[in-house]
Amino acid sequence: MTKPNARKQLSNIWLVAIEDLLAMTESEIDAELKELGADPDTAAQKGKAAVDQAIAQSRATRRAQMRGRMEAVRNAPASPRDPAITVEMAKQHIAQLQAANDARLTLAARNRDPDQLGDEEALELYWQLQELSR
Amino acid sequence: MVTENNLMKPDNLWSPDDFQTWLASNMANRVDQKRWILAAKRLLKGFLVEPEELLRETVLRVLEGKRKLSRKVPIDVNVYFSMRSIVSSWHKQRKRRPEMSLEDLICSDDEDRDTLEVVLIPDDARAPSPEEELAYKQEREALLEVFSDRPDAQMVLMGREDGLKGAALAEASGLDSISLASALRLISRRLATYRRES
Repeated sequence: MTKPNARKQLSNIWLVAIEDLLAMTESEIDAELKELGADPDTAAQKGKAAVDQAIAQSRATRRAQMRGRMEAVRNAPASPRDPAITVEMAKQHIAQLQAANDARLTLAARNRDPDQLGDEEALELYWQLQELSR
Repeated sequence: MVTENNLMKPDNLWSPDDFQTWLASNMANRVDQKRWILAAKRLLKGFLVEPEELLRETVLRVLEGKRKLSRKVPIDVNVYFSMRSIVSSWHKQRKRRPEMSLEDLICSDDEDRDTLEVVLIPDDARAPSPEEELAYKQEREALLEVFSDRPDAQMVLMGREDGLKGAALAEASGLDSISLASALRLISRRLATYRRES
């Protein structure tokens, strides 16, 4: 058998601590708990409560983080709409994105001829695309 | 320098889902609940923190991703050595800031993992540096020294470090199976309270 390297040897030594613990029978565990001044039934209840509390706390933290992210999205200011953007400029920009098959365009927007878009529709689509680019 | 963080790539880790599955099957029965409280009690010997607090903190830190689980070893091994590592960080904190409240202490953790926590650090393809090699050897010697009053336990450790188990370990250490079990129990209990002075 090849001798393990120093790191593996050290790791093997440490593993004894957990291997023996995992191999202990219930009566052995109870006996040692009593020896350490703990009641086995209470220890079981405390063990269960500790895990339940950790799971509940982790879920609460995750919910709070998600709420925080949602709030951040909701409260993010909309891009200022530059009044200098004309209908022509908007249609030209949409046409460029269509030519480049840009992923930000929905299928419906991809198949529309920019010249067939109404003025308001063209400007709205332009500003939506600007939002998506942020 | 080898640190836990730069080796803890996702492929080397148990996922949060793996851990949740493990919790559901390994923390759901009374025997295991007692077992983990016993583990915490052993690790906390002489320390003013309740074992359930250590168990809760460990599970919480793993669930929140603050403690990673190496795929090199099973999840229960990770949990045990994460508990051990947390206790070790509490000891260091207490030494640095004795005025710290118990509540703050329990929430504290070391950002940098101890490079001698060899069980938790995934294997690295490169050979250890001479400094690391020396540190591993010194730690091994310090661990053997913990059993200077028990040559039987030292023999068992020397067989175990070479990877021997069961009958092969009993034969190499010259013990019958009952004496071997007794030596392994002693080793397990003493290792739990071993603390390096650094």
